[in-house]
Amino acid sequence: MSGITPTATRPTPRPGGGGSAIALNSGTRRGDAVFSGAVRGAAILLLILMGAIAAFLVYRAQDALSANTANVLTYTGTWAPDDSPPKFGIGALAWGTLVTSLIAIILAAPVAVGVALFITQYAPRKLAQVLGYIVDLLAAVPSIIYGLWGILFLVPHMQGASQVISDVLGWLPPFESGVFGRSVFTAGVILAIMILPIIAAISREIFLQTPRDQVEAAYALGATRWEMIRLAVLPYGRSGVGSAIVLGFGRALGETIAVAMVLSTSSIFVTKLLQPGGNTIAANIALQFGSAFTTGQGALIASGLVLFVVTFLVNWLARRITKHGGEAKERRGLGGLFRIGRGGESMHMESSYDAPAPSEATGSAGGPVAAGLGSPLSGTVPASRGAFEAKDSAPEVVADEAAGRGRSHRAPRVAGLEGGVLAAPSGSRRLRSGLAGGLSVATFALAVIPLASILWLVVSRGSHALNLDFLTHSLRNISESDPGGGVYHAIIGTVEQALLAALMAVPIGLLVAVYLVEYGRGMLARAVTFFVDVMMGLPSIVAGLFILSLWIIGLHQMANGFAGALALMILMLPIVIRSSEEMLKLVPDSLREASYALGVPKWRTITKIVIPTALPGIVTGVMLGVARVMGETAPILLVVQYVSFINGNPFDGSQGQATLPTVIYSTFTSPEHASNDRTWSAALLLILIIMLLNIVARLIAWWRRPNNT
Amino acid sequence: MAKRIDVAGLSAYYGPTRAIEDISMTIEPRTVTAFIGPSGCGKSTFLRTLNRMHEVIPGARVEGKVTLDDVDLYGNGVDPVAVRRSIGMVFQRPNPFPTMSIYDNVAAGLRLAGVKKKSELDNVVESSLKGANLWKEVENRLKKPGSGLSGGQQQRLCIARAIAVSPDVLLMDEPCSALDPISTTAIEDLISQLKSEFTIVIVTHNMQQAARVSDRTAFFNISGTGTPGRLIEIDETSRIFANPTEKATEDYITGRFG
Ligand SMILES: Nc1ncnc2c1ncn2[C@@H]1O[C@H](COP(=O)(O)OP(=O)(O)OP(=O)(O)O)[C@@H](O)[C@H]1O
Ligand SMILES: [Mg+2]
Repeated sequence: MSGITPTATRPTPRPGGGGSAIALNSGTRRGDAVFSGAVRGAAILLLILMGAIAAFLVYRAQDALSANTANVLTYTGTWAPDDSPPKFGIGALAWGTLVTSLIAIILAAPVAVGVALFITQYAPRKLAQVLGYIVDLLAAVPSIIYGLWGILFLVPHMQGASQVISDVLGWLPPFESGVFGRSVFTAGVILAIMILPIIAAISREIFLQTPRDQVEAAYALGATRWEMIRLAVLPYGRSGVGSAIVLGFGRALGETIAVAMVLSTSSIFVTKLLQPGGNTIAANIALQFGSAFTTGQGALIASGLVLFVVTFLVNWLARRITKHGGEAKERRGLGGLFRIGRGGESMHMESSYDAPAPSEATGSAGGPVAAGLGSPLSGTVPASRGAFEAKDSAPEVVADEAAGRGRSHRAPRVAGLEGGVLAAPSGSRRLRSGLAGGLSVATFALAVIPLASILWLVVSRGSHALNLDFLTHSLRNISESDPGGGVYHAIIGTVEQALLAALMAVPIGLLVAVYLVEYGRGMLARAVTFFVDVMMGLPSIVAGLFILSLWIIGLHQMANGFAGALALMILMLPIVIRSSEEMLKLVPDSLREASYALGVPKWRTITKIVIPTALPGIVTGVMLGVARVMGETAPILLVVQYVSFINGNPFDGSQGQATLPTVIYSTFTSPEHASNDRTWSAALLLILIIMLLNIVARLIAWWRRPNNT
Repeated sequence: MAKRIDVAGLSAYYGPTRAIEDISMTIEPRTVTAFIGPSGCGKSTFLRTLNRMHEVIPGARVEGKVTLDDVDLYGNGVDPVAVRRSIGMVFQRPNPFPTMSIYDNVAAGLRLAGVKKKSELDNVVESSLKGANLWKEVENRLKKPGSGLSGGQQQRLCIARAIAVSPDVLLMDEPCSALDPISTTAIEDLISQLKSEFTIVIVTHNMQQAARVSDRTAFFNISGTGTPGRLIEIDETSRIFANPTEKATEDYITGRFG
């Protein structure tokens, strides 16, 4: 007979044995000591940084709070901390923040979960992958773009929509008489649209991780697709999706620019959702900082602290949900969830090694899930991995389900198959399965409309002015009504600030990650982990406030590009740490052991084996981090003086820099046609750069996959 | 109600690759049929074509014919959901639903079928757990999660879950390979009892197990890596082990490979 199994090829013994002689000399031990000292130092530096942020913000806030003559919780008059006597209230702002975010989460959560279900369970496989990529890319669109779309497109359209809502629900006090575009409700809608792709991307990732054996167990019992989802997919994903929703909420709380752009603010406790008025903490900071003096800054910082604490509590809640939702395996699997950055815009990478076999998905989901959250790369998780795509039937069955048709015409034949107590799946079960499928398709369609509208507007209005002139000229001496001009100055600023930020964040972040994975034990490691979580939840406006008050006001530094880079570094650090940490964790222990067994000291094992193995993932993470901070508007507005001319030197002591987001922000209000087109072109360019970075980052991860066929 | 399975000219594909080729056999009711053969020869693939689980894998498809007492399982208008309800399956790794209690795990299939009456569910859960030789061990902890059981108990729970819906056929893919010898014995005893009611097909790598529990044995083989698996022969177990027709079978059973 012909060969059944080829005999395993034995590894040929290496001639000359181990070769490299590594003696137990003091040199290697000194190397270990120096290296572990360095990573520990980075970890301690991080703690000091966090401590400084907290202490400084509290110190600055305190003065303003004690000077305040109004009741900080209940005062609803104008924000006037620099008057004498100073008067300001944070209660109404906090209330407005909660209301807008609640509207957002109520609107976004069901749609996002429906979208994730559609992509993972109903869409054909090829389409699902493409849709997954698109959702991930949308999650990376910066908020300034949403704000721009909100003010120039959504607000005019919301007037009609508000009218309809108040006609229907007007008998409820919150929905009384609304014909206004710039209401709290509109702000909630724009936030909902912003957080939708984020929640959908995380949920999708979690649904894809449903252990295959659970899915098969459900199908083997004769479950319809919807029943399988209820038996296997939803129970498995429940806590993860819950956390994703809470994280989306946290993200909405900290959102600054989009709200500042669409809301017509006033300092009242909002009760009428469809009418103008109300404000949020973050938007108030963005709108007031320009005119704030000492007490005013302190007051804004105090409000920023409140925002910080609320966001932190929300993120903490998300983590609790993950921890208590379900059994041990799941806990392990979803452990990485709370590591998602600011509502999920962090990154994750696909492990290019240690790919779990589908049947082991339950046990080893930790890596991909942890890594998979926040997701810009998740599209690279194909069905052949933990991802199990439900195809319980021939295409015509799908069609039937989607159409919600019963299958009475099939009943006789099917009944012929049945024995025992079971009847053929009843029409109502079929109907329910079909309805569920139809509903998820409908949510997907609903989600696509605003997102497609955003992309369409940006592309259609931005593309014709986006030419070589636009890329090579600045806006110097070009007034709003003039044609021409470009964003060369802003491209330089954006790139320089992001790179400077990366230059600072990457070495520290990588060292901290190495510390956490390879050395971290005990109090210090727990403290670092905790503070990285805290930093993940730090609203970007608060990072900007910190640099503004410590670096620029406190230390009398200039509002130049470097100040912007510092703020961006604070935002990038946790992203770099988390993503590198996940990547390092995915390096199998067997590799380390193999190296130790050859007598290689720990620090060389880490630098020569562990880090190189994890490198593509780390690079991907850094690139996604760069893409993430490039789109930041709020902190840059606070700390970098906007200029309309070219300034290639971010360290320039006398003048600031423009970035693409701040160009968009500073030109969007202008009614003139030319200016608006420049705004859209800058928006298109920003999206293109961020998408490009995302795609390249994914490609790096994808190339490294062992089976990238 | 045990039923007979007839397979004719069956091939199964994963995307463009053919995993098994042209398999025909009859699986008799109220018997235990064992599938043996080297790793990768397509035993699991073939098993999964028998209850249309194969097609839940993206890109997978089947050619050929499988009939269950004269009903063509792949016929036009046959619902895979109904097929799977009639032909239950037990997997290699125990896979109880982790969020459900022991009771709910066993009742899951019935609830899907719309059985709501508590007394009926109670009865079936008890009889299924008794049938799976698990009742005594879990009687007092029915409301506890199924994932809290030992591996062997979990596997018997999965068997109870499968038989609770009274299938005609029970497919088992290496049901003991993740278990210790004592749990294995418990499951083997269980299989011998269950065959009075069900048609049972079991995939196993353990020759002694095939000899102990099965009435008939099918030997599958591949003629080289990358080639599809084929059925070499199927016969009474005693014959396969004592006096097989094909040389390949004898080589495999006696541990001699080509
Ligand atoms: N999901 C899949 N996608 C693609 N190919 C697959 C898949 N599952 C199995 N195969 C291939 O089909 C062939 C038969 O696999 P199968 O799992 O049926 O073998 P088996 O006899 O059950 O092996 P074992 O005894 O190791 O369980 C193998 O070549 C395998 O690589
Ligand atoms: Mg197998």
